[in-house]
Amino acid sequence: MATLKDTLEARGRDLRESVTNAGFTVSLLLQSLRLFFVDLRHRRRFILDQLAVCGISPLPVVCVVGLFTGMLLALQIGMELSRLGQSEAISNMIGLILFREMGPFMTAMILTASVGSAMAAELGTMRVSEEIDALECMSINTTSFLVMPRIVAMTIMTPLLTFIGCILGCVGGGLVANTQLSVSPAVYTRNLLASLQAEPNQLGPLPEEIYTGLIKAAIFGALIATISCATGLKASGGAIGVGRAVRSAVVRCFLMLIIIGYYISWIFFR
Amino acid sequence: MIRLQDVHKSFGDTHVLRGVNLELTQGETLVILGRSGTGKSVTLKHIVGLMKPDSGHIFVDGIDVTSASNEQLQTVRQRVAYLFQTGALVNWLSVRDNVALPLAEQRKLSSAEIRERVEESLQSLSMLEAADRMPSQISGGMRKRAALARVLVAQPKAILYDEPTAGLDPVMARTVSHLIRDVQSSGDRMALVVTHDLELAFSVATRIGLHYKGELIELAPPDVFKQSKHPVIRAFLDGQSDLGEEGLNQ
Ligand SMILES: Nc1ncnc2c1ncn2[C@@H]1O[C@H](COP(=O)(O)OP(=O)(O)O)[C@@H](O)[C@H]1O
Ligand SMILES: [Mg+2]
Repeated sequence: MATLKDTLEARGRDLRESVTNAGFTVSLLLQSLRLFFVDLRHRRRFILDQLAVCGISPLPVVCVVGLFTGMLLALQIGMELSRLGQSEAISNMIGLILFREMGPFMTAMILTASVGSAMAAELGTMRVSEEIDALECMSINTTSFLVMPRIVAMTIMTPLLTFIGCILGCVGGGLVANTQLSVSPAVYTRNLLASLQAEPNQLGPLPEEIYTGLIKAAIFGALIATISCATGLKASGGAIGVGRAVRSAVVRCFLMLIIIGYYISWIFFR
Repeated sequence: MIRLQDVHKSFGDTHVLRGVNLELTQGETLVILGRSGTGKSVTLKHIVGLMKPDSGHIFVDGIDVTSASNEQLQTVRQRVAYLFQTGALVNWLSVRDNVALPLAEQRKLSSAEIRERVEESLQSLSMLEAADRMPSQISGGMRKRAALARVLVAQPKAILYDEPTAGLDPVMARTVSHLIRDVQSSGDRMALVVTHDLELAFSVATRIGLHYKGELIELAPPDVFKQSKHPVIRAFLDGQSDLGEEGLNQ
């Protein structure tokens, strides 16, 4: 009986901790939103620094992954389509899959692993080495100083990287379509734009299909930064604690991305 | 004035502070000695409201830190500065930007005034040559001095020094203790120094206490403290570890 009671107590503690963490994460996001309007002028430099960190370092990976995802999709879908004699429809599918789902999700995964984990490690290290305490002692608002610039930068950079990744995916798909399925680039491009409901030669605002994916990516970006910062700020217990924080930040981000991603799609496309 | 009244604090099963009482008045430099892990840092963290006591009260200039509003806590933190053991510099800002941080974040002074006060503060600790380096590029002693410059630039009324000489070589330790003495004599600041470095303690203290088993035993001027008959104090001063250890395990 004693062991059952212990187990239940431990589960109860875990549950309470999860709820507390979730509450802390949400309040961090809301506070950052408020501070964005209050402190934007003072934080311009930090936001620019973070934009560079979030945008430039993951760019090569996003490009390579985007290109090969497009090629992979073209290969798999192309084989099925050519069996049905519908090879030319390939770009309709690739564009939609990439811009609606794969692009935002793939980019968010890469950013979680590269930028989110680094944010959790940075803030976790600052927490365990008393730097956060020192900032608080100087009456510096750590949410405005550390968290808000990171959330803003990720919210801006994730859609941008998603867009680049998707474009490269379409290029990769086009390469495979041309070499393996002998679909001409002209046909490929025409079908691609048509599927995204874009006028040919459209230069104005982006078509709706692309917007929804980019909005999704922006939400993903905010999510990754908020979860990573919240987890880092709660780190305790030296280097081991920082490692633990990084791991749980990555796991929490992946879980929330897939769950929230589903519901965003449900809202847009049902 | 800083006053701690019967402060208790536990972490889980470990009862770290068991009724700490102390009073610090203008111009005083109080040194708290004690073995590591006895709760000296925890005591300091209570004074600036980084930790909340389980029971007891902490007053800073009449403000009860335990029940202070956010604004009151800011006032307390403007008057009482904390020099962290590791320095706790922000590692992605240069030394100069670190020192400017408290003033820049207060957003009260113009950038010219801030620059002037930062230069002055760095100058007084002979840190001007290293001003543009990053915290990771300077030695431990320099990091301590940079952190002290960051504390002094905000012109606090009281400074809490957490093991200011720990991890420094003897020469640097002596330099730092001279610095503290200079800082203390150049104004009627209060200081609370936490350390196990006896040389530092006797060179800066106006009163010395020993943190033992969650309480402050003996709180007396250095010469009286040195003559104390209390067995634990004798053991600490004579560097006998066994009695202290036994005491801790009781
Ligand atoms: N945030 C904390 N959570 C749990 N235990 C803590 C915390 N801070 C300090 N302690 C414990 O309190 C005791 C005193 O710590 P501390 O004040 O840092 O000692 P020192 O006298 O060396 O400065 C230690 O046993 C430490 O493990
Ligand atoms: Mg300590």
